[in-house]
Amino acid sequence: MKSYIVASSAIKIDRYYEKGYKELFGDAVEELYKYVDELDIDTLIISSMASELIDHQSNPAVILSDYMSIRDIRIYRVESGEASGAAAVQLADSLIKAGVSKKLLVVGIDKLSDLPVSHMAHAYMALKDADYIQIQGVSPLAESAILAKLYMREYDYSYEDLFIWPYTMHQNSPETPHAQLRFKISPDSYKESPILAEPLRLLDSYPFGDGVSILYMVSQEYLREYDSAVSVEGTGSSNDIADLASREDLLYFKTVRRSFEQALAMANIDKSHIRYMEIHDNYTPNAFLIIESLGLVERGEAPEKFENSMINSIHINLSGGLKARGHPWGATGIYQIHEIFSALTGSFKKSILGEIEYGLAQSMSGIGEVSYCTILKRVK
Amino acid sequence: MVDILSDLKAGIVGWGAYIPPYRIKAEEIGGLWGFDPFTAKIIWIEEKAVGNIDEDTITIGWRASKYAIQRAGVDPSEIEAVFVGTESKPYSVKPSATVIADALGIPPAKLTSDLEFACRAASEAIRISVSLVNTKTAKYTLVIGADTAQASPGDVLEFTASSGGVALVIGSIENAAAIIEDSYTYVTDTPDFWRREHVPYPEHGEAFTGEPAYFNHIINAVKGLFSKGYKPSDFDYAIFHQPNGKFPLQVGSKLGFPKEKILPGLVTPYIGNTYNGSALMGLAKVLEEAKPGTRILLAPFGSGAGSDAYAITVTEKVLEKRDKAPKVVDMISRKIYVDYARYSKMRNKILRYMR
Amino acid sequence: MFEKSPAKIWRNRDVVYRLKYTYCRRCGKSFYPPRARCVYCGSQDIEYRYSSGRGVLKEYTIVYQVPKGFGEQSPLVIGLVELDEGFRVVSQIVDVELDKIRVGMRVEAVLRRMFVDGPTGLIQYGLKFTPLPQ
Repeated sequence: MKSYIVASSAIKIDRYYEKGYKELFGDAVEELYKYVDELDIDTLIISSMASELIDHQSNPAVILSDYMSIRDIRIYRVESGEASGAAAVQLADSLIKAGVSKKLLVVGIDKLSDLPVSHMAHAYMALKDADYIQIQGVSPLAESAILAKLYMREYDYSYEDLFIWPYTMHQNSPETPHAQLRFKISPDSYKESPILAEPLRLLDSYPFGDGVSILYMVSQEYLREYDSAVSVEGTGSSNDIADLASREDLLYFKTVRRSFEQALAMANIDKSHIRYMEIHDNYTPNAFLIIESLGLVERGEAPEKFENSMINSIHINLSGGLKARGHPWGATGIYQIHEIFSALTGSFKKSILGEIEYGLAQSMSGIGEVSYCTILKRVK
Repeated sequence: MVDILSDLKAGIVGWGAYIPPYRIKAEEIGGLWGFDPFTAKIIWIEEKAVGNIDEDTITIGWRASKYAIQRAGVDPSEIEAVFVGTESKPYSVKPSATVIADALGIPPAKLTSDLEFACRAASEAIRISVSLVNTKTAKYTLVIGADTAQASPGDVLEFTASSGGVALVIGSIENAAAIIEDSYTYVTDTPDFWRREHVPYPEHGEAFTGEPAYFNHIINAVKGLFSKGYKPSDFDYAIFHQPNGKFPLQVGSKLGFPKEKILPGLVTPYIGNTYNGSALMGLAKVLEEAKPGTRILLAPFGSGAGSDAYAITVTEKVLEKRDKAPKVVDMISRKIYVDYARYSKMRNKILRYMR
Repeated sequence: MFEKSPAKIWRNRDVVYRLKYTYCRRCGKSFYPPRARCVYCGSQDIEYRYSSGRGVLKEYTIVYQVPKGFGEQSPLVIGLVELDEGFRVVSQIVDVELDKIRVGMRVEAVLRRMFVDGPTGLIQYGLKFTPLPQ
């Protein structure tokens, strides 16, 4: 028994001052109707990291379904920090495999443009312990900056060496229709970029934007009704020590490796089968740590080996990643799956990828305190 | 030679001080507000210590207390009274002493209070402590004099109002580095310097703060102490409340003390007036350099007004305690200069919205 | 009105004011903040101790994109400090000029104001680190 993604929609990630959570959700649902005639769903899963923090809206699943007059179905709201979307997809997969749901929508949604940066930084800080860590003003930004410096020192890289990541992400995003920042930058653009937490600059960070992405997933019995489909072949998830200081090996995301191993085992494939990955590059150093933690290269080698948005022969973050495609928190994990689905079914980055069979979406929260790996396979 | 009278004595078992490292020069303040260039020289103030934006009487008092407890060599659980004398309380209602006590691990069964008497509240707590120790109400007490004193920008007081604090652990004379032999207090209703409710800065009577207030009360307190059988030559050091560098020299001279006995305990010219820490800062410094057997006159003063005079004798124990915590001279020489803008930011003088 | 819970500030003060850390009797490791079971071996055979507050700065960053409520403290120097007792914390570093911070410097924990809950709310105190005189 597997679950299948048969359609997806993704609104362009942008700053929509004129639309709230409800209206953006409505837009994304209407977008989905371009690909399917009807949405006769029995389950709705909403992934949002911050509707309470930003919009003071609890229970978004109730409010959003009510807005579209979608009634008398199962509704669930999933939250797992920045990886909420991935968690939601994996729960959707489980509901379908269990036979509980047959046709469902997984919606990732968050709006990061309604409030000033300091409010967003405050909401982002909520990912860390509320009793002892937040009082220091520490968020994953500060932690990632410390990781960057430790990494640069350990493996003798300069800041410019690591800037290959943002540069490459901006090479990719102009060809991503839903990306927030669709412009190229030059290898020395960092010189004009404000410092967020040294050495990390604005160009090392994801932008704040609004986004909604929706997946339409069905059980096997409905597969024949659709022209395109990918299966959820493997899922994996792992959690680790929540704060940076208590970890013993700081330059390695255990959760990334564990969740990847689990997903590969469930999919019964080797990592060499996967030619395309979307990974969670919330900040530049984390991108390289993820690549190394996935086991794609030896530790310390990722910046050197990363060329043309590839590691060895694997394409990474062709969307432009969190850096340039964007990172509307609870929606990001869904955008990743949308991209893999679109690539596998031939409507995204086809000139680069050609026909591929497998894709990996790796999502995490903070500095890898939890990670989810989802492997998709083209069915038709 | 004076006989040490009576058994009702207590001692300073440990002392500690904290002076923030930031300094603003007197000419920076005077230059901005159009004071004539000699004002600072005349009152003898060179620069003052500035507390950082995240410091206040509680944080300063805590640090001085930590050092005092280190020197005292007592366990916090043996401290049975905590007093904070200050005129810059972080809360108008909620004692600073409870925060400091809990942060030091001093258990709940204790007398605790914040005291107010302008700059001499901590001194009042010293007198109270002597009684508590002698009546065996408290084995040890912790007395803290700390302030982040504020003056209205442009007021002459702004030259000297600074941040800093001193803490004393007071207990029986067995473990004392210095014995409080005797004391005398002289208090009247004298409105030389005051601050009304809800108002950020104090007002003062300028010259009126001199003769009728500072000099009148210190002289009467010290004379009251002398009447118990002391004279100036019995003292090796004379430490006075020091609102600037000039007043202590003047009052000391009136009382018959030569400059040499006053200068060692005079720190205001370099760090400003730490208000409740003022005279006590001079005491801390002297305890860090005086020989055992020397006798100190300590005369704090607080506006409103009142003064105390203490006869304090240094014991052998001071030698082993001195190096157990940072010293005043080292803290005085540790400096990071700031300009008026940064000083204003640090001391919350700039009207702003919370960011 | 105020936003920060008085009860929360009150119940956490022993850990926050005094750097109360957890020592695992089974595996001998220590950690902060507190957990119900050992971070490393999962044992419940744990005890609480108070740190001396002295340690070494292992790494640091200077944060300019500062969360709401911390604006007046900007830029925040956030350091990874290894305490002499063998555990690490991520904490603010204060009273050192930005160009004088050195990895490897010895630091000690000092009580400071962490944040202020508006004009009428409570002041949260806690520990930040400052260089020890070298």
